[in-house]
Amino acid sequence: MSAQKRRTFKIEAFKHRVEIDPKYAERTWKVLEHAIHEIYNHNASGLSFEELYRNAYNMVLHKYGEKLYSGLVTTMTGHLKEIAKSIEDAQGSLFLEELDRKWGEHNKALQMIRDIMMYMDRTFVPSSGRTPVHDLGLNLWRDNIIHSSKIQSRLLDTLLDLIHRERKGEVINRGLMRNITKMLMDLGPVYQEDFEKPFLEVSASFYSGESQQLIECCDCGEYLRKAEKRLSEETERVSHYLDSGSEVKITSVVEGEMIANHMQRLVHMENSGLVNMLVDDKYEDLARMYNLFRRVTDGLLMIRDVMTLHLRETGRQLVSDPEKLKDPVDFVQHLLDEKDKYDLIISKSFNNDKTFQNALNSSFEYFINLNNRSPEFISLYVDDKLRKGLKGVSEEDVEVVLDKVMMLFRYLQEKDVFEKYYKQHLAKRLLSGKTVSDDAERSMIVKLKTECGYQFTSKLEGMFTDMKTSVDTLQGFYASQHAEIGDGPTLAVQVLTTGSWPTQPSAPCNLPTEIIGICEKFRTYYLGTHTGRRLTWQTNMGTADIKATFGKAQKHELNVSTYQMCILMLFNSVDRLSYKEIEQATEIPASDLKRCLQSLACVKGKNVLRKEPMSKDIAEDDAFYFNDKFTSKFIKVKIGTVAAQKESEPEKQETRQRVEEDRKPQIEAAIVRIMKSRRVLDHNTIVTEVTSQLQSRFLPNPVVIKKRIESLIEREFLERDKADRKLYRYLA
Amino acid sequence: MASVPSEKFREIYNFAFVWAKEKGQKSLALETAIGMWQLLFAEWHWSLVDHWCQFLQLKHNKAISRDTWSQLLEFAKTIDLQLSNYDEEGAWPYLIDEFVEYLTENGIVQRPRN
Repeated sequence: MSAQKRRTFKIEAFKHRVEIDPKYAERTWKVLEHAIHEIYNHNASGLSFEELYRNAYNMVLHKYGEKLYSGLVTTMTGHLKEIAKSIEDAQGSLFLEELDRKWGEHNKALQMIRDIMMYMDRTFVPSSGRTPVHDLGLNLWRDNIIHSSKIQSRLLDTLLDLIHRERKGEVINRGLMRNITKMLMDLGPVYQEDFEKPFLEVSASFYSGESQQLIECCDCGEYLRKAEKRLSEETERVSHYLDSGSEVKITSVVEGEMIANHMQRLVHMENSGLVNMLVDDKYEDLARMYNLFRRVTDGLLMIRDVMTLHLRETGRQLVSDPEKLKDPVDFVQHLLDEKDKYDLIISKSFNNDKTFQNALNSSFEYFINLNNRSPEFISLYVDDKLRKGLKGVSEEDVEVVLDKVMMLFRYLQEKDVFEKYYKQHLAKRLLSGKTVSDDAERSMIVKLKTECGYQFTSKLEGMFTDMKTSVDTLQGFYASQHAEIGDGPTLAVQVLTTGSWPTQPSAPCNLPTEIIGICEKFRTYYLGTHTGRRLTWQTNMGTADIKATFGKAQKHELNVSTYQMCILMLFNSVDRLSYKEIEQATEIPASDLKRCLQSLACVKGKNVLRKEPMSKDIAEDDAFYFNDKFTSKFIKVKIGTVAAQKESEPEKQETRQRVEEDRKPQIEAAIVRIMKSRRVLDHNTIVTEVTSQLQSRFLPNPVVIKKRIESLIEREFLERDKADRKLYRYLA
Repeated sequence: MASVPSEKFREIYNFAFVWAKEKGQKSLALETAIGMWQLLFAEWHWSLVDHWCQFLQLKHNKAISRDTWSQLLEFAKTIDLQLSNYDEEGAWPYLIDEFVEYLTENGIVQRPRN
C-alpha cells in the first residue's frame, strides 16, 4: 500500500440557508399565545413550563424573536384592556379593591410569562434594544390601566378623597391604600407625577384653609399644639401607606402653611404670644414653639429677636426704675433672678441653644450698663452677702452665689469702677471684722483674679496680708509690754499699707489723753522694729468700746467710732459743751463732726448726748450735754456707723472722678504700647486698638483717647506725620 | 473763600508760636495766642477767627498747645465756612472738635445735612 495523503476531515456548512418553516413559527407562537390566555384566565396549572420555555427558546433561536415579542405585546395589551373595563365598572369603594386585586393577578401572570420568556429576555431583548418583559408588563399596565381615561382621574380623586376623610377624622382602609401606592411606586415616576404632586397641592390648600380657621379661634399655645398634632399625623400617614420620600415633602407643606405663613401673628399674639409665654414660664409651650419654628426658615431667628427685644426692654425698665434702685441688694437680686429665669427657659425649652444663650448675654450686657451705678450696686450685693447673707450657708452654695455674681460682673463694661467700690467695701468689712467667712472672701478674690488677672487683685490681697500681719504685730506688742499696761485701755491696731487700702488721707484728730499713752507706746514699738516707715493714725476709720455709767448707776458698754469716742471723752470733765468747743478740742473735720453728733444726740435709743435745741440738724450754735437719763434695754449699745451703703450723690461724683483720673494713665500706657510696636498709625486705628486692649477693664471714651494723644504729642512721645495729618508717629 | 495761604505764611505762622511763648513753657498763654491770631489772620483772612477767640475765652481759658496751634491753620485752610467738609473722624485736636460743636449749637454755622 502506498502512503496516501491524509485528508483533513472537514465539515462544511450547508451551502444553502436552512429556513425554519414559517408555519412552524406560527404554530409555536399559537401555543404560547394560548398559554398566555390560560395564565390570565387562572388556568395555568395545566401548562407545562418546560414545553413553553422550549417553544419560546426555539422561536428566538430561529430568529423569530420579533414575532414573539410583538405577539406578547399584543396579547397582553388585549387582556389588559379587558381588565381595565372590569375595573371601570366597579362601583364606589369596590373600585380600589378591584384595582388592587387585578394588579396582584397581573403581577403573578407577569412572573410566569417572564419565566417562560427568559431566553428572549436575555438575548433578543438586549440586542434589539427592547424593554425587558417585566418592565414591559409594568409599562403596559401603566398605559392601559392607570392612564386609561376612565381610570386615571377617578383613581387620583378616590385616593385624595380618602386622605381628606382621614384628615377629618374618619378611619380608612390603610392596607388597601398601601397596596395602591405601592403599585404606583412600582410603576416608576407614576407615583410622583400622578399622585404625589397633586397630593401635595391639595394638602397645601387643605392646610392653608385649616390654618386660617385655627388662627382666628385659637390662642398661640393651642394653635401650636394643633399644628404639632397635624405634623405627627402626616408623618404617621406616610409611614403607613405612602412612599417614605414623601415625608419630607408633606411635612414641609404643613410647616409652610401652618407655621411659616403665620409665624409673625403667632409670636405677637396678644395675651398668648411669645412674650406672655416667657413671662409666665410656660416651658412646654415654649419648647413646642421652638421645635416647630426651627423647621422653618428664620423661625428661630424670629423667636430670638422677639425674646431679645423683650429682655432689653424689661431690663431697661428695671435699671431705670427709681423704686427698684432704692435698695441695691434687692436690685441685684432681681437681676440674678431674671438671669436664672431665662437660663431655665433656655435649658428647658430652647434645647440649650447657644445662639439663645448669646442673645441673653448680649441683652444683659446691654441693659446692665445702661445704669452707671451697676458696678457699685453689684459690689454692695457682694458686701451684703459676705457680711451676713451667706451666714450658715454651705461651702458649695457659697460658691454658687459667688459664681452668679461673677457672671454679672462679666457683663460690666466699667470693671474698674467695680474694683474701686469693691476695695472700699472690702476695707470696711475687714476693718470692722464683719465678714461672715474668710474662705468666702478669699474665694471671691480668686474668682476675680481668674477673670481679670493678677493686677486686679494684688491690692486686695495686700489688704488681707495687712490684716494678718497686724495680728502678729499686736501680739508682739503686748508680749513686749509685760506688766506695764495694767488697768489702761486695751488697744487693737491694724497697720495698713498705704496704696493697698482706699483710705482718704485726713489729718488725725486730737485723741483723748486717756489713750494717748498706749498709742504712743505702740508707735514706738512698731517703729522700733520697722525703721524708715511712717505711721499715721487714721482716726476716721477706727472704733472704740467705752464703758459708761448713767444716772441711776446704769452701766452700758458703748461701741462707737473713734471720732465719737473723742467727743464723749470730753464729757468726763464737763457736763456741757458747745459745738464750737467740741470742734476746737477734737479738731474733727466739720462734716464728719456734724454726722457724729447727730448719731450721738438725735437718734432714738442711742442718744447718749442731749442737744439743745432738740432739732434734728446740727447747728453751729448748738449745745450738748451728757444725757444722764439715757436708757436702753441692751447693755451693749452700738452707735458708730459702719456698714457700707450706697453712696450719696456727691460721694458718687467724687468716686467717678477718681475713676476717670485713674483711667487716663491706663489709656496713655495703652497708646504708647501700641505706637511703640506699630510706629505709625492713623487716628481711628489707634482708637480701635486702645479700646480693644482696655475693654476687659472699661470702655474708653474716644474723646478722652484723643486728649491723651494730644498730651502725648505735647510731651513729645508722638508727633503728627508731616504729610498726612491723620497719621501719628512714635518718637523714640 | 480766600485764597490758600502761601508756604511762607505757614512758616511764619508756626514760627510765631515758638517766638511768642514764654521760655521753658510748652504752651502759649491764651491772651498772647489770641493777640497773635488777630495779627496773623489780618494778613491772610479767616472769617471765623473772632468766633474762635470768643469760643476759647468762653470755654477753654487755658494755654494753647503747639499741636492745636499748628492744626488750627490746617483747619482754616481746608475746612470751608459751612463746615461741610469737616469730618468728625478727621483726627482734629479736641479743641477744634469742640469749636465746631460750639459753632453749630449756637447757630453760627448751619451745617448742611447730608
